Amino acid sequence: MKTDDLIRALAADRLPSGPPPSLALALTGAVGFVLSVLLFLWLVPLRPNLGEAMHSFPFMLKPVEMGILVVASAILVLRLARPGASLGHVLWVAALVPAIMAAALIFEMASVPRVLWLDRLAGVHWYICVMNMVILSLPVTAALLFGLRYGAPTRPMMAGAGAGLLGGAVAASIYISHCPDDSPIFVAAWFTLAIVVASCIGALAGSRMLRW
Amino acid sequence: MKGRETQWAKWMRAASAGDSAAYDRVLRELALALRALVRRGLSRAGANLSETEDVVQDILIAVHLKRHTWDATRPIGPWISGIARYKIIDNMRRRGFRIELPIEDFAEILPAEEAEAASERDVTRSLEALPEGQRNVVRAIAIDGTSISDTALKLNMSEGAVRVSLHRGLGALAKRHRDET
Repeated sequence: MKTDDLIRALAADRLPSGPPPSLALALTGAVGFVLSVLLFLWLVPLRPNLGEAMHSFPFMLKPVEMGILVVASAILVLRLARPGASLGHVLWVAALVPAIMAAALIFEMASVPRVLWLDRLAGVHWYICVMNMVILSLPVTAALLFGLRYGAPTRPMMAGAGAGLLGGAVAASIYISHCPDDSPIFVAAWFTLAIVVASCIGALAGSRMLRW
Repeated sequence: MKGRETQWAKWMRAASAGDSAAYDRVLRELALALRALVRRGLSRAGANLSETEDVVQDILIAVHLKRHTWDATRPIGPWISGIARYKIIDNMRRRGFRIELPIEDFAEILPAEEAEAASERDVTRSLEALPEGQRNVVRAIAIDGTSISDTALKLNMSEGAVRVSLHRGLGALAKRHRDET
């Protein structure tokens, strides 16, 4: 078939090519979020003193940090779904989160005696925290990868990493309502680790699943 | 050359509002511009220029199948060059070349000269791999230039079934490459 013939066929095909990427991602992302919340409620109980904790500054840092990360990575994923869209300043906004974490970490280490650092780092059960956050990220990441297939990501690995980052940030946001550890030392180490692992899973899956 | 992209965008918007003639025109213009872009990419990678037309067809199919990912309020140039770049790299990778393509301003690429391109345009993409039903429909519409309704009569199908077969056939043409690897 010559190119002119191909064009004739393309022009004759008037069936819609698909939903806008933003719509596909909003729908699949919402489904992933609901699945993660259900999984969370089945996996672990809410933190008993949640209402009380909300009055503490170190606790409230967590939803603020994760909130920024969710918004920034959501914008990142939407941009990566479309060819030729520039990433703009969204990476800088995302970079605010490690900056806030680092500032809180320095403040904590300056105000807490050195002998307590390791206890703060270990928390109640750091490894369960990391594992649960990674598990909770999977429904969101998987749903977003599915949604991205309706887009046209020209950087499949990066788009996958973005989906994993958003999955990790959403998972961490949900997990805050269970996690009994508020120390910035704990957050800087284990929240970061969980989100990095979630992003790597997304990147690996993306480089395989998102080619078109 | 920004004026050219503005015109493409106008045609694309008309196309999504149902104007097939505008769509036909924009695809033809794109084919000309893409041919130059692809040839440049292939020669930079040291690949055989005889593959040009196949890659151009790949990009055109991708533009068609992914046209919902263009935000009609944004410039169309970066969107098209994003797709083209992805498809050129993808094609090269499959043929064993590793290339880095700079993100070029599409506006700087001049359309290929018609005369120069003519011999390459004889390259044909095979429909043989398509299931028989889709192959018959795509062949009637693409090669014989039959309308949807005449194709339906000729193949004794409903018009809806012809539309669906055409749509799926084009999707299958895009997938063909991926399944080879």
